[in-house]
Amino acid sequence: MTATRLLWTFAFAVAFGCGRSETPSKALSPVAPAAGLTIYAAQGGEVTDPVVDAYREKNPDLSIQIIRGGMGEMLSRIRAEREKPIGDLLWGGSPEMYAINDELFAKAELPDSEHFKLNDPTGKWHPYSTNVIYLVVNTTRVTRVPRSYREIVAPEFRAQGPISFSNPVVSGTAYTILTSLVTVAGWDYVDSMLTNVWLTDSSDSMFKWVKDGETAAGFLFEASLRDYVASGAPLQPVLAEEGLITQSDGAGLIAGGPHPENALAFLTFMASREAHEIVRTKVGRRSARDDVAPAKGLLDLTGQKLIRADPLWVGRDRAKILARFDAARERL
Amino acid sequence: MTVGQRLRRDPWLLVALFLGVVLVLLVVVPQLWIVRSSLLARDGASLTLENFFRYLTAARYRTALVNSVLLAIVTTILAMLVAAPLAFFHARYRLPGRDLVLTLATLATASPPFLGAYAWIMLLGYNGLLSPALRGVGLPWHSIVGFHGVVWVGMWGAVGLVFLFAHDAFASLDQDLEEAAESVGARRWRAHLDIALPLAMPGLLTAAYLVLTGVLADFGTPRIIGGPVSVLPVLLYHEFLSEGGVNPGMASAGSLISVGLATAVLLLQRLVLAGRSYVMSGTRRVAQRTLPRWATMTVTLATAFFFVLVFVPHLVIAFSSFLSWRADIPGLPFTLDNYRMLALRSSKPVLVSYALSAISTLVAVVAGTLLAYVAVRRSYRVLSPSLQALTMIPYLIPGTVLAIGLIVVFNREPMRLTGTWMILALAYFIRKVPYATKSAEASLYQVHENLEEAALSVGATPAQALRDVTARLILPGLVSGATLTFLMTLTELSSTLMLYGAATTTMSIVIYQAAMGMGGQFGLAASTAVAMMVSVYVPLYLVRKRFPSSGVAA
Amino acid sequence: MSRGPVAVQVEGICKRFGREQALADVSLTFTPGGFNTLLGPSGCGKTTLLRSIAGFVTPESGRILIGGEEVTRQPPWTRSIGFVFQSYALWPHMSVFDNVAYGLRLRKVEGRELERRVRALLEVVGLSSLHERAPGALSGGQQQRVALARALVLEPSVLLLDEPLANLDARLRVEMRQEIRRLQRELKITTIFVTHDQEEALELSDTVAVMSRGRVAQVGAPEDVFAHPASPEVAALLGGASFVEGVVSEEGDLIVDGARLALGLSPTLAGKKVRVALTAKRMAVVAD
Repeated sequence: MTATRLLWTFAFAVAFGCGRSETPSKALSPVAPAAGLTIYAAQGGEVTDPVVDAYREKNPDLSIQIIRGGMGEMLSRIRAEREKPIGDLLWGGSPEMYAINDELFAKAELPDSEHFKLNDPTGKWHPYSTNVIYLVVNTTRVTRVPRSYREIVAPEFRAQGPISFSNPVVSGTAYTILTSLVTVAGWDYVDSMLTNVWLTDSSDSMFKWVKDGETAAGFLFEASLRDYVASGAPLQPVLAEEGLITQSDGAGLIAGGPHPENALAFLTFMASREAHEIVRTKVGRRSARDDVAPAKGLLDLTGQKLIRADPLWVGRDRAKILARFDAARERL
Repeated sequence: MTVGQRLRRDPWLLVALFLGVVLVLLVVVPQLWIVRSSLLARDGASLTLENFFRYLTAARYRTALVNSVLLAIVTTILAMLVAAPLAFFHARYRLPGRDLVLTLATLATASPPFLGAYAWIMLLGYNGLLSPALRGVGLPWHSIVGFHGVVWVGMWGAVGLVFLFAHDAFASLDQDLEEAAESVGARRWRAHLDIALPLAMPGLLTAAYLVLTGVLADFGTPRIIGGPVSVLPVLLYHEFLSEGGVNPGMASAGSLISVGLATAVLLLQRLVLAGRSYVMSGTRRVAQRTLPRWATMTVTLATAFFFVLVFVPHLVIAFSSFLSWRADIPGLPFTLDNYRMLALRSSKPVLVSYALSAISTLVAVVAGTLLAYVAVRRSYRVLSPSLQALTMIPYLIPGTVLAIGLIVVFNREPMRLTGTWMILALAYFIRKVPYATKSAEASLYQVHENLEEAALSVGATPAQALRDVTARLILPGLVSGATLTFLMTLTELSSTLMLYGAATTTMSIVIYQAAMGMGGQFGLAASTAVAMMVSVYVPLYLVRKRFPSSGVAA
Repeated sequence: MSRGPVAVQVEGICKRFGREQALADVSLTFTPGGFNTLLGPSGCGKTTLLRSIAGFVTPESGRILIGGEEVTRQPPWTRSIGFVFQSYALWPHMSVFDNVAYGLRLRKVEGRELERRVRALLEVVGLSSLHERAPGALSGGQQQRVALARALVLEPSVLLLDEPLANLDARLRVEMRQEIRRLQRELKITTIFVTHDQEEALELSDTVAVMSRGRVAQVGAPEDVFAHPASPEVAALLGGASFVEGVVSEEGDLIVDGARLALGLSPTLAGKKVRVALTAKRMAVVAD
């Protein structure tokens, strides 16, 4: 009967273990404790933790909870909890995402806003980092690194393998890429590209496929490219002559959140020079502030041609753009 | 008869009614908004059936639907073909290591979510460990990523379940029946094919049904190893969680289509099994025969090979947990860093996972047994088919969708459960009731009604008969079913993603976040997955020691 | 036994399963303390009737009375019955002893009293040494005895047996049926026995009810029924009947093709042309 006894001991251990670290009443009540801050993070820990840890040091009494997930999941959560929000702020996502889900966020006035190149006139989205999205090729699949976007729709390239691309309908990253490509190469280019594409709803898949060599080319954030290459991934960026694609991510105050003052204080810190130095040194990304240098290993963008899609078109005509994309897919 | 008399005579009617109400409240009501939103046009105001039609007309949706159905059928057939014959041998013939085999099969069903897919890519992806070597020796090997990869991973993920169900079905057959066939001239294999196989149908069809609907609803595996192949659950997942504003119309319609598919399969299963009697009331268990030496060796070898393939992902993950990971790329030297991170960040999630799974499994098994009893022993004209349908619905609602429904319903006073452990336990319970019910049903089919009637005839009330006779006889099957349910709940991901709070972070969330994050945390995913596997195998082993001869369904 | 033999009656029982009328207006009075047999081919409704008396089946109309008390709508666990199944239905997870003891335990009989009563019954059926065994380790005949002991230990008002000997070999069958008869006579318990085997019916019964297609075709003492089947149907059911046509003489003989058969027919039939069923048992070949 030792097996039975062990089983019961195990069960009790679990029961006690749970009780020890979190009293039952706490587990029953909603997530946010009395004096604290709840961050919904659509970013990995490597992006948020250095800044959050620094803030924790400054505010040791503040209890900060971070809930992580994909951007879509976080937005769904916020929307579903709209009657009584649990989160205080959302970290991650491009300005279009916040514009589309405008009613979920609250306006916030932050100091230092003059240092940010891309600001949101509605005051709901606050820039954090700007990232170059490179077209990359996997050198185990291709013989030569292309020099332009146009090259990858040529027949010679097609023979080497597909291009991985995520669906702009669901992915903000893909939407940025799409609008950039249309701006420099037109819809014909996109139609052509789509005939040799592995399409996915998940940006992560887009990144992984080209890294693993399942596809010959794909799109990748500069920080990830740097890290992958440093670990030995056979990737090369395409410094396209048409220009480089950029995307910014940021954060925003959730409307009706339980601790708006705490959230505002954190956002203010997040926008500060101090925090952005951490972005440069510890997070390893390109700060959105104009007075902070890009992180090590990232291309210095002075003199580089950057693609700038018309923001009005990107924002207002979104539905039309996506419909056009869908139509292109249908024709396949 | 008055209602009171009817109820006193058949208290199960009351139980059935109660269960029906509970299920309607928990399963149907939260999903009613799905029905509603599936009928809304894009403008959010007018009613339309357009969303459903687009699943046939628009390429994006149609492809996903067709792929899903194809995938489910192919995976199920392959899994059955591989696992069932093997299980048959182990059930009917004396082969070495029977207990080990059953334990391994049960462990096989405890794969942490989607890590199997990652493991196979690590091995056989385009630049995987083995692929360049295969290409080097001239084999036309490209990559495991694609439709075939999903089938491969899905198949090996399902064979454990099929093995257990099939083994049980074959082991419970009355030997006399086959011997009767042999006595009229059927050779051994004819007897197997003509007698044993048809009689084992309830168990086999149950397994097939579970695999089929499981593959239809699985989004982890195709998401990782499917490549460009789009499938319904992944599509629905993204339709619901689209960053670009939510139009749940298509996703809702898709969810209902998924439910429709599963219902169709269920009805098919019932049709096939209806009107046939499979019960044997003999009290003698089937004895095992021996094979000739060469056959024993062949089967044992095949079994070993079988389990190697099943456990490749586990071994690969375990191995990779000792590697250094930087930016999602593994390398030497070997290290314990991943385990240090585990101790630092994951110890509480382990306990949370356990507690939540234990609670929800217990409730699910109790409910499932009651539902199974009503299904097997009673056929109320309206109530029985309704209950069966209600029980099966949650099995096919994608976990994400189920979770959203629960959030919508339970996010306001007086039932404010969002962010608490209760909503997670509720979601797990709802998702696992079908498993628990099917498992209990399979056990119950093996217990002849005479045994209960005999108890009634000596003065036992139905409750006493249930407690003293039926429950005891199905207990081994229930325990196995409960263990399986527990393991599956432990590794649940899709609902948890939507419902967890900081205090209720589970192991699977830790793994998912670490694996999907871009910052080289795959090592933590691997070590937590190992912790999950270990923390699942230990109680499993103990349970099997206590109830040695239990299969999954007997 | 604390009370006298109990009367069992059914009146106007009707039971339908789906489209099939299993019992159509069945009325019978069973001999108290006697061995009553329901005889008929499979599908005639005899088992359904038995199960109705037990309470496993509820008839749509009619009454069932045990000991003068109406039990038609009462559940089986409240009726004072002992039931022996064709499959024995011994609980495989309990020993022989526990199988028999279960009903007593439900009634809160414990300790020495329990042991005494269980052992007594096991003694009666001749299985005292096997009380520790599991049912799976017993032969068919032994299982049957356990089933009997289990049914009888509670001293029920009526003992119901559903073709209990069907699964036994011929020798065992003969042995067991004699056992059952002996037990029944000793305990004087009202017994209803279902079978399709005429030999059993003949040897065991005090009363036989022949059933066919949901109805009672004839009731009576076995010799009477066999000797004087009430209808060609019953005669055919009892098997081995030859039919001859002839004219009845004034003395009650049957004139068939010039031959004279002394059958002791009723003189009121004199001069009439009749059809007679002759069963094998009634014939003997004698030297001329």
